[in-house]
Amino acid sequence: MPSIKDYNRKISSLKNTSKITKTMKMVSASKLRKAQESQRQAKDFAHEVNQLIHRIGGQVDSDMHPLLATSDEVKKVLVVMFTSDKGLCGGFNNNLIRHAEKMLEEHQDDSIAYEFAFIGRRGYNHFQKRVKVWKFFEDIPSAAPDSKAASRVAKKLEKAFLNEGFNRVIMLCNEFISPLAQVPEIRSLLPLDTSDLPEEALEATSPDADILAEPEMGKLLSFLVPRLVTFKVFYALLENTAGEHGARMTAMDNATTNAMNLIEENTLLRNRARQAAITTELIEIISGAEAL
Amino acid sequence: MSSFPLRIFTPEGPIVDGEVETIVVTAYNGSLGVLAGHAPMISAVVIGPGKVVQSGATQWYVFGEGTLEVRGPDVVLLVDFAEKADNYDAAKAQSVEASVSE
Repeated sequence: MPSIKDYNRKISSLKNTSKITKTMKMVSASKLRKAQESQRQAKDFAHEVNQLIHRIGGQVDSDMHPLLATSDEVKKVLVVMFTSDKGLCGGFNNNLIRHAEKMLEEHQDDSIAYEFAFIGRRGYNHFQKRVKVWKFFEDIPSAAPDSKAASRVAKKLEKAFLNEGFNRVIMLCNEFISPLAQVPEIRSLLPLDTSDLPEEALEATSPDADILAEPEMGKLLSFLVPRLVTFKVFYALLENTAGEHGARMTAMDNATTNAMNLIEENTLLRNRARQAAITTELIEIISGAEAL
Repeated sequence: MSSFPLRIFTPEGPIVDGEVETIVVTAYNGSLGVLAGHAPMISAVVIGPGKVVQSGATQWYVFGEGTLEVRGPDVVLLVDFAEKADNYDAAKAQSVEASVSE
């Protein structure tokens, strides 16, 4: 039977653990807020870009920009997987990995070649030996992404789509529903869906004839389209970050609750052990006195 | 010196939103500066150094790809990213780094 000292040791170690998990929860909560705020601002950016396309009077057709061109036959698909770098966030990464494996299983018999790009170490560590790795974006911090990183990733993906024979680029990431719920989701990135672009330009927004454009209007429009790709990548990065912190918050909250329960249980056991020791001692004294 | 309202948007949020005297960006075919009262214009912006002069103080930046739009008195810069730099040389070095890492 463990002694009182054993119980005391266990309780104090549990208390320390709960302190750590509690702090991690609070840190994640504040980072989550930041990520959500960034998401909102990223949306504002996309809105501005769309408005500008609108103002230029552009009606974007799918044959206008190579990033919009759909191919009839899909042979090579690039999957970009967003996971976190660090663990301790519940099933956040595992759910996504399972989702990816299911997807691969379903498409096993198709003649489509899948290649993977990874953002976040967790996904890469799991899949590096299992699938064909196109690239691991090692230097993108999953916990706090910036738009420069997003622009770099977006450029690479655009290049892959345009020059390396990929017919589609899809993103595999967790959709952030609430801090308690993240759902694995597959999103199409390239070819860019024209529904992401503004509806037909209104008559009233036709540009003034005397506006200076450099380069000419048509080319300018094609210059704006990749901004939307950057936005989508950045948004997915942020959603991944928000999800990671949300999941960690929930996981750490559960861990704290569990630690508290264990502390309570162990305190009871310790008290029982202490009482047992006292009773034994008393019996010893009484029986000793009786013997005299 | 007369000023004009400038807004710089990046996916990370607005970087600048206020009255400034000058903005310089690296445009499609060379450096491009805008002062108050510029004719309406839209220009493509490429990765490169740029600066904003706000109430006499100059701040250097590295701007990512995007567009610069002059609309009436308003000037809007939409770029992938905007990173502060200490001076022109630092901005230049940072932008070379940014375009190489692609």
